[in-house]
Amino acid sequence: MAEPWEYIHTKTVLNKYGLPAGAFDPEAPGEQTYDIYWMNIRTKQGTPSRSHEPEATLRISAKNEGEDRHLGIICSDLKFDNTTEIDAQCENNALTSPKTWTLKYSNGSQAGKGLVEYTQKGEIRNSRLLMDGKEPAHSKTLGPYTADWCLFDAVQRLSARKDTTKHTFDLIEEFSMIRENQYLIYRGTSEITTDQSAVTADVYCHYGESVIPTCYYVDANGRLFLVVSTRRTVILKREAS
Amino acid sequence: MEQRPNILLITTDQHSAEALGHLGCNDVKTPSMDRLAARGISFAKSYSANPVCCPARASWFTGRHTPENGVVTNGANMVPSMPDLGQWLNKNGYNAYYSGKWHIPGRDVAQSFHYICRDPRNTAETGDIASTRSAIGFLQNYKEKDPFFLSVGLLNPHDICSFVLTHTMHDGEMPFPEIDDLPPLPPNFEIDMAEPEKIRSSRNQKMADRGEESGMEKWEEKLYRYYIWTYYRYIEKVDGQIGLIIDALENSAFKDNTVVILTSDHGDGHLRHKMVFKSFLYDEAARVPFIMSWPGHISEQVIDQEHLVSGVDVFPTVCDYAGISPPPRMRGYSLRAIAEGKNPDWRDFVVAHATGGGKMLRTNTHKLITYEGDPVLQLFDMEADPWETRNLAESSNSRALTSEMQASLTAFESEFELAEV
Repeated sequence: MAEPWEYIHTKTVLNKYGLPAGAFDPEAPGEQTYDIYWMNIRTKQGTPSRSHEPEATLRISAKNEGEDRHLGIICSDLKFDNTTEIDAQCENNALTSPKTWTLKYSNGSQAGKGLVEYTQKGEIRNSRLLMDGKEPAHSKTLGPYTADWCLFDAVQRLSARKDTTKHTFDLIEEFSMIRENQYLIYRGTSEITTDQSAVTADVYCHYGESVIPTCYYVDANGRLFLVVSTRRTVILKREAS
Repeated sequence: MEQRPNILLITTDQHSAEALGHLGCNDVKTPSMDRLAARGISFAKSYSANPVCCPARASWFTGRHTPENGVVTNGANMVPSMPDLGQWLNKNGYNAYYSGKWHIPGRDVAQSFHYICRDPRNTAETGDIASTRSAIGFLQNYKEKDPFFLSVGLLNPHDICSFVLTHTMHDGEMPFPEIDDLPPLPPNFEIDMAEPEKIRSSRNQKMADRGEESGMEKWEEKLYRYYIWTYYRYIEKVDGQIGLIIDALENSAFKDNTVVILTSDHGDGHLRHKMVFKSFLYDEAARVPFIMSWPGHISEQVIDQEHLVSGVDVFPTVCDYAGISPPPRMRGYSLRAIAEGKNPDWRDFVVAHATGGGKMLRTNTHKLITYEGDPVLQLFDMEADPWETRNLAESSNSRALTSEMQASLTAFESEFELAEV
């Protein structure tokens, strides 16, 4: 049975970017930049977008701050000229659970100028999600939890720690809404090959309410270099420390 | 003069009415749409005017059926002289804004609305986040004196369109055996009845093994069920975006003076009648959510099983709440009186069209489907056979009803001012 990284559009992107190599320390301060591709549903072959250019970029910087973990996240949608920036103070735990954060949204639309931008403060207080001090309509007392972009940091550290246990949690999707009944499992290793090289990757898969199964591929150095969820392919572009 | 309300129109893409928690589906969680329905009215017999993207959307924004507005199929242009809802509202004292998916060829959305967030085309996940966040920002920042009309065009669960192609490579195997809550196949998965050739050929094309195409006939049962499971996850995704918009409205200055309308352009086969995608007239593709809410004005906690609703009703309904007359020759009707608990005279049937010459006439009890030039007609008793599995058109008991419904369809269409193709 084919693995998700073997989707035609994902393989095309993998061959374009190549596989990562060299040392990496997921606990060290650093920044990773990913390009995001969408499979073009209008072609029979299921290739990436017609231009074969990324649709969005994701930049995640991470560092330990005292007992906490700090993440800076910038997701820019290249085609639509909108950006979401998140500055999050997180627990230094298995799931990099965010404790407090600021979310800023901006959009380059001329007609929307001054009309669509906003900033929102989020926090988890007494295991409850608060957005600008208010609970969302669908709220609950959280168990273990994390946010979608925090999983990018978490899987690297799980792999480095050889953590293969099943994690069940609540998801703060987009740092804005609660999704219940989530779980992350270790799916073993997968040999990933491109036209030029090969790596053995740890594979973690995320399932749950509103989640299209998402597979995270982490190399032997604990570096997340590929995330695949059906038509979305997120691929490591570069890293800086 | 009574203050005119703001109007928020939220649309999704490819969402079957069946796939709503409050309409009885237990395999999908739609708390946000259910909340909206609980604070308003949900029409269970709501039909797309033409169940594929461009035509359905053109019908919302013109109040006319597709043979009249010109958008008879995806890619066909809208009649240039026909006013759209954005133009009409901007001309009549409203500020009309648009965020997200538009997809009406021949009409530049930026000429009709203040266009605050671009059409995500086919990238629903990131596109819907941008459309939603732009709407949230708008609800926080809008300061104009005139009331607004804000249309938010969300794209999911349309991402299901990628499923078949993506899974071509799996040789029909279910790729995620860890998932243990796959929904069952529907009772009408396997059917044996007379169908128009257009429907048969559409299904056969997807089922056939054509190399780069899907070869769905080879799928194991679990992969079919995984398609349905995935479809529901995409619906949950867009339900979350709707929740964020509703939360933003309720935390805004417009909480008490905004009418909310929610609908979808069309549904998805999700293996009912062994079909995927849209462009046909069985209920899974043609029947869509239609919810209205304005606490204190619109009746609450109502699931309306009685009134037949069409996508062409959006335009006159919005005009009714805006206190303006719609353009002439609207084919739809305002839902306001029904939504506010009154009992107006109402249509006896609703008509829809489909790519390839398909036509549907739905009464409160029966549905007729015809295709131009195809001798096979379909008649279903929607009360006794809601899964549309027994074609009664040729049974001697039903011939008179079939003829009567055909005559009603012909008479209805005789009023049309057909667009020049």
